[in-house]
Amino acid sequence: MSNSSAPGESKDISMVDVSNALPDVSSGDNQSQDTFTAPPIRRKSTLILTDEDHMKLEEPLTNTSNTDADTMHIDRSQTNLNQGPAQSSPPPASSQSQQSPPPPPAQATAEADLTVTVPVEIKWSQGGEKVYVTGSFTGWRKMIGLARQPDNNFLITLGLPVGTHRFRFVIDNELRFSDYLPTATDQMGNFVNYVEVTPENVQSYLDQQAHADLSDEDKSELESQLTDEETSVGDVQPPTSLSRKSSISRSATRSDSMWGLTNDDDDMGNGYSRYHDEDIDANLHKTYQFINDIPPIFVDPKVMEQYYMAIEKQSKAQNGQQAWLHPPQLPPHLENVILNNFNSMDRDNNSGALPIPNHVVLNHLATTSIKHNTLSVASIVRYKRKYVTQVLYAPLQQ
Amino acid sequence: MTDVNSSNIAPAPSGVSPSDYISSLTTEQIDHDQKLGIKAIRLFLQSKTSYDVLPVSYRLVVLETSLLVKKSLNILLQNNIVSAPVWNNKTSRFAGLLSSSDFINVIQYYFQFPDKVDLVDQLTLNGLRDIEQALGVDQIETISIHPFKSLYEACVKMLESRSRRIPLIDEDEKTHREIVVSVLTQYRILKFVALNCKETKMLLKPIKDIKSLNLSKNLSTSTMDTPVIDVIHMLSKNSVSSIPVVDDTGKLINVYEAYDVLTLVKGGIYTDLDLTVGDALLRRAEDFEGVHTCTGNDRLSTIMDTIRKSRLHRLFVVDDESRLLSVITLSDILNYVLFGDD
Repeated sequence: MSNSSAPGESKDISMVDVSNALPDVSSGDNQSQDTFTAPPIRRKSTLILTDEDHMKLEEPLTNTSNTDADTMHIDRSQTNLNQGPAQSSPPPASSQSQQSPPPPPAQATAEADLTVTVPVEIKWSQGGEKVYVTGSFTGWRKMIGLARQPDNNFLITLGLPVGTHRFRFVIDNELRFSDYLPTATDQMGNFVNYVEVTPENVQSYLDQQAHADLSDEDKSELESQLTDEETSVGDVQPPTSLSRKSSISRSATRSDSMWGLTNDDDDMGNGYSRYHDEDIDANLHKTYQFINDIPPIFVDPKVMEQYYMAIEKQSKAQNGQQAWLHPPQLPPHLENVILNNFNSMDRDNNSGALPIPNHVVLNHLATTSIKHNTLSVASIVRYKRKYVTQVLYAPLQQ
Repeated sequence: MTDVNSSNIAPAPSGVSPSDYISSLTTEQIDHDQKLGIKAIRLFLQSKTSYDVLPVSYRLVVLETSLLVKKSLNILLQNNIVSAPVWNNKTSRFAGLLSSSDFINVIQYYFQFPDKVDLVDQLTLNGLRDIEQALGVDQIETISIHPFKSLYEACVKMLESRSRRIPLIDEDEKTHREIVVSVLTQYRILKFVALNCKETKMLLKPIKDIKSLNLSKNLSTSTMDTPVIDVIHMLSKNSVSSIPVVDDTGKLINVYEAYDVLTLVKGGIYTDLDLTVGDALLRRAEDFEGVHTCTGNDRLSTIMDTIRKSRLHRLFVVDDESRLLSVITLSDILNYVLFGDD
């Protein structure tokens, strides 16, 4: 599980340079004292498959001093731009989302502004006279007519918010689906077409809109990019070339990662960016040596105890909490465990259908507490254009 | 206990006096429509892949081969599933499907060798093959199919191997190792057809006139007082998924399904094998679907409609006095759709 602990509480030992642990810790504490006055509220750090329902979705931040934390969830390039402030902001963000009332159990896309819509072209090219589309975006009630194109295809551009939209076509009063668009069965088993609008789509669309407003000269060029964007909706491709370029140029001006190990940009793929710490960046030019020995803090109980005592003293002096006793915080996105939404007693759902996962939870390992000597782990992976949540049960080693 | 009379006796198709419409058709017209309908469904099965049947996001429970059989049983019951693919961690390969027939084998083994209670208690999924050998039962061939192969091929494979479900196996692009994508059952395929293929409405031929659905079957039955172990032997010997329970007059009153075996040995207890079928059936969950019946005058269009609405795995054909005549399984229907009426 990835680490998102803020500087003030980075007591995860793997994050601390052991050779000069104490100075590091104190400097970290000093820094956090500048930044924070109240300790963050702790939250559970394990993903739970059953029993409990942790379906808190991220609410858009209302804390104006830290709006960067909000955009961080939406666009990678933005994250890079706002690396510094975004890194120091998770604690307020988490406490914020904990105080907020539980949002409605909708799609796991509440991070983005649902009022923003992206133009999505829906095309029908399999004949017919009267072509309509109906779908989840109209509550399956209204039918929207498609306009006949010169090439005898039918086209409509709909403004759709973030989320997965299911739809079918009504061709001359007959319900059909397109063979040229992604298809799937919904929870009831109906075969439908679907299109996925991701927060990235929205953000890159907004970026382009902003650019379009800036200069009239570039308008024509940007419009062509807009259509690019429209056709790529449904893919989970990275943002279009425009925002990608900007992300690289921004990160190039940034200094190296905290360990000075890499020269690539901060984009780690899968929506993650490299962890940065401002005060460690100052030590950037320090060269580190690779060793094969296990540091004594991991093997010698005496050193371990000394280390813990030192940290405890520090944290007690700070706010009386034994911060190091607690595991690091879980990134808020990972609290949305779709398996917790699954009702295995629902007899209509015999295909095991689950809600569409947020892409940030992919490739993470979730687990339950070990019961009856059996370990169960789960992870969500992509299979082509669908998501498989595989739950593996295995015995503990005997 | 389920009352057969209240169970789903295939409802008449809704609409404006449909029976009048159907009775106005000549036998030739019905025959003609039936042929067209079957052809259309066949084309549909050929044009869609197993991947198409999968929802956009779904759950798949996988068991590791070193898991104890009794714990696997709990996991199946907990997740409300009847079968799960088995994965070998050591070889990183798919190792077959665990299904109710495996538990039937274990029960029979225990019955045959009651002194080996410790072995049965500590039996792992790995050890199931040894049990099969000791019993001398046919090893079920582990079939599988790629998710991008057509549904038609998947159906053919299932019918050939006499299995009710087929695992979908793909290969990882980078490591070239197997991935278990999902498992399709005959029911899910037929439900997919019933939901998405409107040509099922054209299948108006009474099932008594369809030859391949009327082959005389050597139907084994039991009564409420038959020992449950005898019924389990019957399930295994005839490799069927259920045994109908009838009274002295041949009236169908209930059914013992292979799935009911799971609740019988729940918790790894194999001491209840001397129960009668009637007592064993009392363990069944409250929300049991019921026994589905039909008469020879019913049509595949109504049967497919029932498949769409409720989870059924077979239909017992009864006469007007609800005396048991025959059974139509999902394999029979698939077999007819794929190969019948030519």
